[in-house]
Amino acid sequence: MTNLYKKRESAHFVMLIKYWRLVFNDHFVIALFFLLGALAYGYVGWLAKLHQGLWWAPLLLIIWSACLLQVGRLATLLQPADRVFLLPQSQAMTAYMKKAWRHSLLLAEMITIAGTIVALPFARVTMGWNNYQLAWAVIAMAIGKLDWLLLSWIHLNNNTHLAPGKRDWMNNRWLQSIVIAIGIFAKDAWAGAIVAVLFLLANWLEYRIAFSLDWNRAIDYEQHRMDSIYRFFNLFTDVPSVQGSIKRRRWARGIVNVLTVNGHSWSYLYAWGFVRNDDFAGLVSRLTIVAMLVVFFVSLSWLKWVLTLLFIYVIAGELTPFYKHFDANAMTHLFPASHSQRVHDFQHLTFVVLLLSGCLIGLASLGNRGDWQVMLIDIVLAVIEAVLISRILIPQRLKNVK
Amino acid sequence: MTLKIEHLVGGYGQVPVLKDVSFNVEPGELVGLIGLNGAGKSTTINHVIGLLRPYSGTISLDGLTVKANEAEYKHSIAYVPETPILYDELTLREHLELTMMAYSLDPEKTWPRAKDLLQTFRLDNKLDWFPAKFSKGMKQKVMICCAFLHDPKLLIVDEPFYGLDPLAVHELLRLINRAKCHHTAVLMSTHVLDTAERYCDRFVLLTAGRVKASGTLKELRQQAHNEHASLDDIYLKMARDGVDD
Repeated sequence: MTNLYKKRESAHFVMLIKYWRLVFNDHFVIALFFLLGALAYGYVGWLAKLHQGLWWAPLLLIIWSACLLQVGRLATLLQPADRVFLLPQSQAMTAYMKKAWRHSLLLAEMITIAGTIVALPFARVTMGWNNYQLAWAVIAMAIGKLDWLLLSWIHLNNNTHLAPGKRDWMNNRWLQSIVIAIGIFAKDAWAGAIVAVLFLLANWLEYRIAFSLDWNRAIDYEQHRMDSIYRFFNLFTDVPSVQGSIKRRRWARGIVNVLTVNGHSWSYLYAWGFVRNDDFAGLVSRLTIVAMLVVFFVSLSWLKWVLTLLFIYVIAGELTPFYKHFDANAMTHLFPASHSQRVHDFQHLTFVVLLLSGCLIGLASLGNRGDWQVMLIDIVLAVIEAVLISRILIPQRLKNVK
Repeated sequence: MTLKIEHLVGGYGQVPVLKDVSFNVEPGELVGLIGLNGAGKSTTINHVIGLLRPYSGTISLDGLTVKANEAEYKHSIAYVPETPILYDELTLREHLELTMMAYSLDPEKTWPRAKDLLQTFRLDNKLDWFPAKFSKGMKQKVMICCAFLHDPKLLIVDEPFYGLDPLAVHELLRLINRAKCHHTAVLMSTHVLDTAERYCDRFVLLTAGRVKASGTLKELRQQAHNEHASLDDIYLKMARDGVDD
């Protein structure tokens, strides 16, 4: 079983390398280099302005530490088919899981310690801590992470004496993390360490219970973990296994009515599909919000207009693949609706989405100076672009898509 | 409407799966399409519903073809696939609304029928559920409800009994029977031979992309030279012969 984990670990590593290579392309590395430099420079400059005794400083450190402890999860690398194929090996899974746990601990501790070290200069300036206190903080956080991963182990053990319903609540990893973080930064670093050790003892007693893998829970947990990894990579490149999650969004019925051409099946499908699918609706709303922030803070009028036009063009570009979103479903090919009606319905969707985004970006172009003339021109330009894109550009692009 | 398949050659890649397939399905008739895995049943159905285009040969519905009269052709058919295919983003209610829109049905007149179907398949309290919450059988029931929402001229049912509970199988057969009474031509592919024997009017036995035999049970028995053989016996014999060939 440990061999199986080793095999999976190397396959997982190869997969990660494949995606990391795509993420860290030349341009991104340069951008990241500058970004990190700017962040470090900004951090140093910020520290110089701070002083001891700020009321919000411990609060910020508690939030930072509690969040930091959530990073670095138990990577079991289990797959859904395992619950069938490896079921006869359930007993032997303990060795597999121990291997996975140790591997995860190493990586998680590195992240925790690095993240804690980043926060230490802030703690020294705002709380006046000496080197011993800083060292205790690092130790407490390291033990805190150990607690967190022990809880993950207990969480996946069928034999734990807690009932499944209570297991989540009693073994709440956030709860322990927050208490440890409060111990460190609200009282003193050694107090945090003591709290962490007490949790460690409690968790250890539970950890010693014979392990029996809760297959469903473990596989769901791993799927969830992998989904978040894939979603991160999906920001940079296409990851085939990433599917946008579906949200009901009852409140969106009004928006769907606006997006739908009455009685058109394709229009109805596109409207609900767009509103409920996180991939497309999320992307469009994020781009709109970023555009609103940018045009709000940019002071040059002409630059606001250019940026508005550019953002609307980008949103249209991101929306175009949605045309084929339902193609994998054979039933859509059985609709007695013509191709031209489908294109028309998609044009309608694009127009309304671009119009809404354009108007919001236009409103934001009012900026902190409140120049309504700039805003008016911005909105007019956005509307013209929405019309041109949906009437001319989209049908042309769809010809290529077809 | 009569479904007429004439000298159909077709498939997915370079090498055709179907080699000169010909048969008819008359109005008010239930024809069972029977064959081993890979014999070409689903490929035939995919050609009939217009997902695949024939390499040669024709498929017509009273003279209508997918190529020449796409909208009219598709308006006349209803399809229940082997594996239920639903939209992740739509609830059960919205699937029904979408079907009504697609087939230009008047919602006011169609909803009572939809509610009847939902009650029949015990889905009436699940109108706001998303497909992710449905079991395989429930998804299949949703597909059946959508297919029977309008009055198709041709109903195509691909392996309908897998995943359905006995009550649902019974109700589906009742609905198929009712459709037959309304002169709907029904083409059903299945492996459940005893049910097929009881309900189908005629059979088309496919082997390796060719029609090995077709006709009523009586005609098939004559071809098999066994007056008392069940469909199961005939099918097994022909399938083995086909494999031996």
